[in-house]
Amino acid sequence: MRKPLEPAIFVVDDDEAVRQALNALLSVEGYRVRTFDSAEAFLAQLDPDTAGCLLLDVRMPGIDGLELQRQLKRRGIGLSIIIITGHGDVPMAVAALKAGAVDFIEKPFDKDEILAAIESAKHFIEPVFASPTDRAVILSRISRLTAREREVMDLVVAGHANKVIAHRMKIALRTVEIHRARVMEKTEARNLSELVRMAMLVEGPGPSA
Amino acid sequence: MRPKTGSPMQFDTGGRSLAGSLRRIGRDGASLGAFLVLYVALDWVSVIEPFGELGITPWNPPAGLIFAVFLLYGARALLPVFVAVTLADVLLRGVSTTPSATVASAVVISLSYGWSGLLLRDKIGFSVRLNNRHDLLWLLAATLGTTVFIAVVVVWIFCTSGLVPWAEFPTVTLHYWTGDVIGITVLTPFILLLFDRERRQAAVRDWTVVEAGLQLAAIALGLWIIFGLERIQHFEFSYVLFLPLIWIALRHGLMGATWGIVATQLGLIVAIQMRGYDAHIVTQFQLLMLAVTVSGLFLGAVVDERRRAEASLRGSEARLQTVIGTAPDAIFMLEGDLTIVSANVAAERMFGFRASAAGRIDFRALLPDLQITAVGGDIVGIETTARRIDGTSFVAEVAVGKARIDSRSVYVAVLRDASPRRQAEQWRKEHEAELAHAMRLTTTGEMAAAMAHELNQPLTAVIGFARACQGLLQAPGEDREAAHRAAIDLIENAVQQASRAGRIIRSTREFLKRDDMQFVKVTVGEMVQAVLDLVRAEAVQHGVQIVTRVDSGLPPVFVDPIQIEQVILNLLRNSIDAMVQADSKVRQITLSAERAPGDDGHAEIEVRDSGPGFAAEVADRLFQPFSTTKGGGMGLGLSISRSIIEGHGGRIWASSDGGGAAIRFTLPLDTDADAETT
Repeated sequence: MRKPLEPAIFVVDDDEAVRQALNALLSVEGYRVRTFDSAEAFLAQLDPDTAGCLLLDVRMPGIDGLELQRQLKRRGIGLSIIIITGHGDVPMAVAALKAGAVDFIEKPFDKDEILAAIESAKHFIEPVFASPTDRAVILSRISRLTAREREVMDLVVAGHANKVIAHRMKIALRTVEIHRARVMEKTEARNLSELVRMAMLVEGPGPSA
Repeated sequence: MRPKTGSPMQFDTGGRSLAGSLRRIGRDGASLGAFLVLYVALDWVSVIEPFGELGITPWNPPAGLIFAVFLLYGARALLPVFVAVTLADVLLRGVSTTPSATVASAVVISLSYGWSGLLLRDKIGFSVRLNNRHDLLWLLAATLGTTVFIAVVVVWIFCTSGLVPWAEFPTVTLHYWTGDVIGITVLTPFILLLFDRERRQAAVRDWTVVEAGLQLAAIALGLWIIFGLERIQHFEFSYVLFLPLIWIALRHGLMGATWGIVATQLGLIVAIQMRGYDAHIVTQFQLLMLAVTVSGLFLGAVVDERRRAEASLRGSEARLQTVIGTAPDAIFMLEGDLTIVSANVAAERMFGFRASAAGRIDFRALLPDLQITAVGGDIVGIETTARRIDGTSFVAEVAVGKARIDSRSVYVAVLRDASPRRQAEQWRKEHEAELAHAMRLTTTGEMAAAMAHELNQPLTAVIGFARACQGLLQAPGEDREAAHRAAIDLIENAVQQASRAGRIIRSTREFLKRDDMQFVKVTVGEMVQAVLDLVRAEAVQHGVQIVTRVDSGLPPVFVDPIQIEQVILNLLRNSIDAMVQADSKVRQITLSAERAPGDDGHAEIEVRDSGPGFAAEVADRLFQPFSTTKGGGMGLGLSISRSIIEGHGGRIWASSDGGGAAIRFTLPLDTDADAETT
């Protein structure tokens, strides 16, 4: 008989202040939190029957977030992973999403964002918008985009900064911002993370879990 | 001989074509034929006062022809000469009763002249073109030796075969010798020089028919004086023959001399024949001719030498003048008392005077601060004030050289306007600060991405702590006291994190501040800490670990911290870049600071990485500007770092010992603080 382990939130981040702050915030909200300063430390303490949610900083010295994700999958650990990224890590975060992470949030994030992400992850829910209907809905939304807007969306989802997009498409920065705003409007994505997941969905089914 | 493509009858016979060979044989055959004819003709013509039937005459031009041919053609001439000698003997004197003597003498003659000619040809320093007195001397020496030998041996052969009575041996030998010697000295140089194209062209250029005519007339006059005046003893005025020859030699050098000699000899022979003298007198006249010939030849050679030397000197002088004229530096030629002999165009321009006025200018006034005669030897590269004619001054770089000509001293002064160089220095100094500033901007631009990430950490923490505090205050739970205390702690943490963010921003702002150097007393540790704040994000991003080992007992230094931090930052970033580019497995940087070993007045700071290092040859170039192995970047970082360190009175150097690169630099310790702590 398997003893059900109490689900916990695991925070893996090399910055001490971030760990402490997340610990305080989530504890006050009533979660059980355990913090680790590196992926190695986390793996060392890992129980194969662990359940819960992993808040993972994608950029760390030593084993980084993506590598940890791969190792967990290899070991068959079924933790829901939420990626935390700093500025400029969107490509890595997108990769993590494709590898099966539930969500990604960018620092600095507020309480609501992190709690919402944990909520969905806590219930081991697969990435949102997995059903065929949802897929159809998203496809129809994306088809509303003009060709330029679609271009901008692809570049944004790839993680490029607005300035870079402006340079590549040979248009003004302001134009990029306008396109981006329209993209968010037409796709009804609430944030970059949602937009990325929509894009992934449209490309095809995610990798096997 | 290269085969000529496209020419007919091409056989692959070792690179020679049949046509070419035929042509050459034809040419040689023609030459051979000509030679034979010439030889025989000469021999026939030169028969005067022969001794018996033997053709021993005091005038033997064929010998001159033979010797010249050997000198010009070498061993090839051996057979043709032998044939010619024998042929002439047979044709002109008939098949004699002693063919062995004929053949033997022909052999001796051919071989002797041949051997002598070959020796001379191969002699180092001897030119068949008779370029100088030295060549002439050797020619005459060889002639002397060979002719004596031949005369003795041939006459001995004749005596042995009974053609000449033994009693006559000395006289005949002398005859024979005289003939050969004269023949050679008159004819051989003449023939040799005919083959010298340079001299031929010069002669055609300079020798007018009128002049030649006059000179011939002079020779004729001389001969008439000797032979034509009945009442005068014949030898009394024989020296007159020298005069036309001297004239010709002075005018036209060696080639002229040879022509004059031939003309004189011919005239002499004709005159002698007309008078019909006996052999004894003829020989005496020939000896005179010998003296005239040798004198003329040497005079001609000396004139040639001098002309050549003059031409060479003119060439050198022309080149020198061109150099002086086109030189961008001012060049003054001065006498021992510093009067100006000449000044070049650049000097006129530099000082504002005209060439015509150069002689009146006092050189000392141009360089008022310079003591030239006080310096025994040469002055090299001194900077001194120079004053123009109009009174304005400038700084000049001066070099003065002294030369001795006979017993006088002369000076040459070369000046360069140092203003452009100084201006460039000035500009560089002024702009070094700007350049360093621009470097810092670029650096920070590149660091912006990493820094934004770095700022995100404390900001995330601030939000976290603040929200947690909010949560606690809104729902404190049973233990209100504990909740309050916890809330206060959380706020404190939040503030600390906000300060951390503030520090990072402030470091950046200070780093970017456009500042002249401001020296303050600061510890190495403080500077290291400031740099670490700036670079931590980048290091983490690339998986680089930075270990610091700062000697806590290290006294402070008196430096401009922003500049030193810039240097440390540059070194750290270089190490990070190197390890990333080489994809090093181990990425560690050790930053250490301690007292410089063996030099207590300095602190030594080292940045050592575990990257690929660099090769020994690269070490010198590392600190040169624009030397970089990175794809991007201008390659100025180390160069600027060096100026900063050296500007602080320290040294910076690099080494690589297989385990990565290590850059070390020293900074002078603050001596007051040092005194305090000891």
